Amino acid sequence: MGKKSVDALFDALYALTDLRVIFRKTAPKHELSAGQKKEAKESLDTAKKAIDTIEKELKL
Amino acid sequence: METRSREELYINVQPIQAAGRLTADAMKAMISYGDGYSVCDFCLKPFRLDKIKKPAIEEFHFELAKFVGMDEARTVPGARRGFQAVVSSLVNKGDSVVLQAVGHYTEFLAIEQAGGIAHEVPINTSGITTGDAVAQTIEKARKKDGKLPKLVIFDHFDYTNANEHDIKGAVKAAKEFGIPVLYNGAYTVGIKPVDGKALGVDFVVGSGHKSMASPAPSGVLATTKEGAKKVFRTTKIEGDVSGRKFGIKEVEMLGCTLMGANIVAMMASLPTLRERVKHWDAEVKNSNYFVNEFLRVDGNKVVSECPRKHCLTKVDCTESFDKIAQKHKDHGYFFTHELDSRGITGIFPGATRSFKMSTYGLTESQVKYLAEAFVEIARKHSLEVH
Repeated sequence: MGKKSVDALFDALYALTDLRVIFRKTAPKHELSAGQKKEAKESLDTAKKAIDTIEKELKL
Repeated sequence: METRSREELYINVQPIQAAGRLTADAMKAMISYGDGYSVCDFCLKPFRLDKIKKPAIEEFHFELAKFVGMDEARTVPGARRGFQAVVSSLVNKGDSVVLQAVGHYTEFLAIEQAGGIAHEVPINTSGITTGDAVAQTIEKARKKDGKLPKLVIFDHFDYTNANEHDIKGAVKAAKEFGIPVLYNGAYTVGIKPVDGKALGVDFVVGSGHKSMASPAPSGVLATTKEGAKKVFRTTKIEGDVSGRKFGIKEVEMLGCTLMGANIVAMMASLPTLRERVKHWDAEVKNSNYFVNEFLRVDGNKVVSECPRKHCLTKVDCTESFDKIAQKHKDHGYFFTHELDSRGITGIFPGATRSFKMSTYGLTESQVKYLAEAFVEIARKHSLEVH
């Protein structure tokens, strides 16, 4: 475990922050446009990938 | 810890929260720089926070000055600390300051702290402070005190009704008497273009947490080269036992300016601010759209000037929603519950007479939804909708 895991941790947090902003822009109904759905998916994919990296690095 | 999620779950029209909502980059900065002295990893000579190059705080201060059309800027913990620094530098005990009767209360406190005298400029029948009224107040102050005021503090938009006041007229009046002007841009800097030099003012103060998508407390104090010599003067004091001196620390800033996550979040939001001020007209259009829909409800009134020139608006529902509240078992809270059930928050709980709200930063569809909600609630409670 080292820099790679720490970088991945921030990548995940930042990606989820981007998703948070989408929640804000679409409140209260959260009916996402096609573009917003794409952005949300990208954010989640980035977060998942980062979490995978951390799991591998920590040998969990 | 209780999570605050009202921005994610609701349309929040709370009047002073709207333009302080963080950008994504500011949120990320908060995550990364939350530790106390996080920006001080590379605090090298001359050991002053606004001179730090990594992260690029020094560069940010240049950019911030440019953003408000001034020569020099410092970050401060809120606009009020900007007023305090200027008043403390220019006003001695017994000196007077001219400010609006609708000026922010912290301006009065800054004057009080310096031992100064406040001379208020009254508003006219339309709720506006005119340049002529500023000139008359200066004359009155001169006669009363036997000397000219040391400063004019002028709120471009006031905090009660967010009416636009005659800043150009005020500057013209002050300059005729040779009095410096502090522009209070707590409700402008960060949401609409502000060019201090073009306005002819000596000091520009803005609020980070109110209008610059930044965390509290944060703000900016910017000035001209001349103003900087007074307000950003460096320390001269020397310890009489130790002989200690304190380098280039600035007296009014008490050494170092805004620290940690707050300064980095301000830095992170600046590119967005530069872009969003270009779209101020669209924000005002949204504000007027809402107001026009709101006025379709019989009895609804707008206290602020109309058409709106700002997104913050004071409204009066004494003859509409408050009449329902008088007979409703939940009193004024019926309105809060109706809004809450539609995912709208930010109006003072239980208020049905007079309250402030802001549409700033809402998308067009959110503004439409908000307006429809007011009309829908009115219809549900048998108020006439025109």
